Amino acid sequence: MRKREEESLAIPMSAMIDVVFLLLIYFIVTMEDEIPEAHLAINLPSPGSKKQDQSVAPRLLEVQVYKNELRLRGKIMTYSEIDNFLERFSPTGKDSTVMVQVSQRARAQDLVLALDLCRKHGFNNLNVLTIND
Amino acid sequence: MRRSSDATLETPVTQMIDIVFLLIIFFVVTASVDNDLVDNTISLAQAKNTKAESIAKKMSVTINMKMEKDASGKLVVVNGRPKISYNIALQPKTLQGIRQTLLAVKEETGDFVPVLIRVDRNVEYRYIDELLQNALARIGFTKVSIVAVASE
Repeated sequence: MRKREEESLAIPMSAMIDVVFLLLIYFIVTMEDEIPEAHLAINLPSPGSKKQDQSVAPRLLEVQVYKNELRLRGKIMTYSEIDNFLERFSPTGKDSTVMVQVSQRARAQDLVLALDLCRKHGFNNLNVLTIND
Repeated sequence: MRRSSDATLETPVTQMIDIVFLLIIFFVVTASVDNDLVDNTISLAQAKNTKAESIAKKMSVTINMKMEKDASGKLVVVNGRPKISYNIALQPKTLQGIRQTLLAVKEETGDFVPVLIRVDRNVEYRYIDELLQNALARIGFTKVSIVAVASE
């Protein structure tokens, strides 16, 4: 009698283990690495506005973005030169508006490079305009 | 003698089941249901100085933009320019379709929602400018974010 009671209390585990392993394999196969994404906020000119509103920001910094080339106020500079300039400029000029003028032939990576560099030094007011070249 | 030989043939399973259950719980918790709506075919530009955005996000509209490729991986060129495709949540859209979607979202929420642009790193700015000017700025969406791969 005791043996029968003991047998009826036993829970059949083998089928459950099979299901558990199947679930595990499913989740391992379907798992994907999530790529961390950064959002670089920009301001576009409002429709119909032709001139920049100089009264909004008295200090203006101009960065030109070309394909594989960056310029600061029209002067060709390397990435590290612009980085050093922005580092020296930023303590007094964080409220500056940065005009990012982008060539039509520049790629998205070139634009992101410039925006990222400006964001690195705390310039968050980034206005993007197109250079008609 | 038989009992002891039977005992040595048994493998201890209980600890293994515990580990398996822990793994299952881990994968269930980390699995994301809405991964299907992310366009993973786009190679985003790299932003090495900017940290990733936090998980809690406001409502936003994400526009995916890339150059179309054929079956062999070559760019599809139409009239001398690469063919650009746009999609929102993997739904293909034209520029007009994007405008309509944004206007519908604006009407529903009563405000200009943030727009995120996930664009392939090699797309020329002239095509991005078409999207920015013709689809976004024209209807008043002037606050836009370009999405890039964040630094770790």
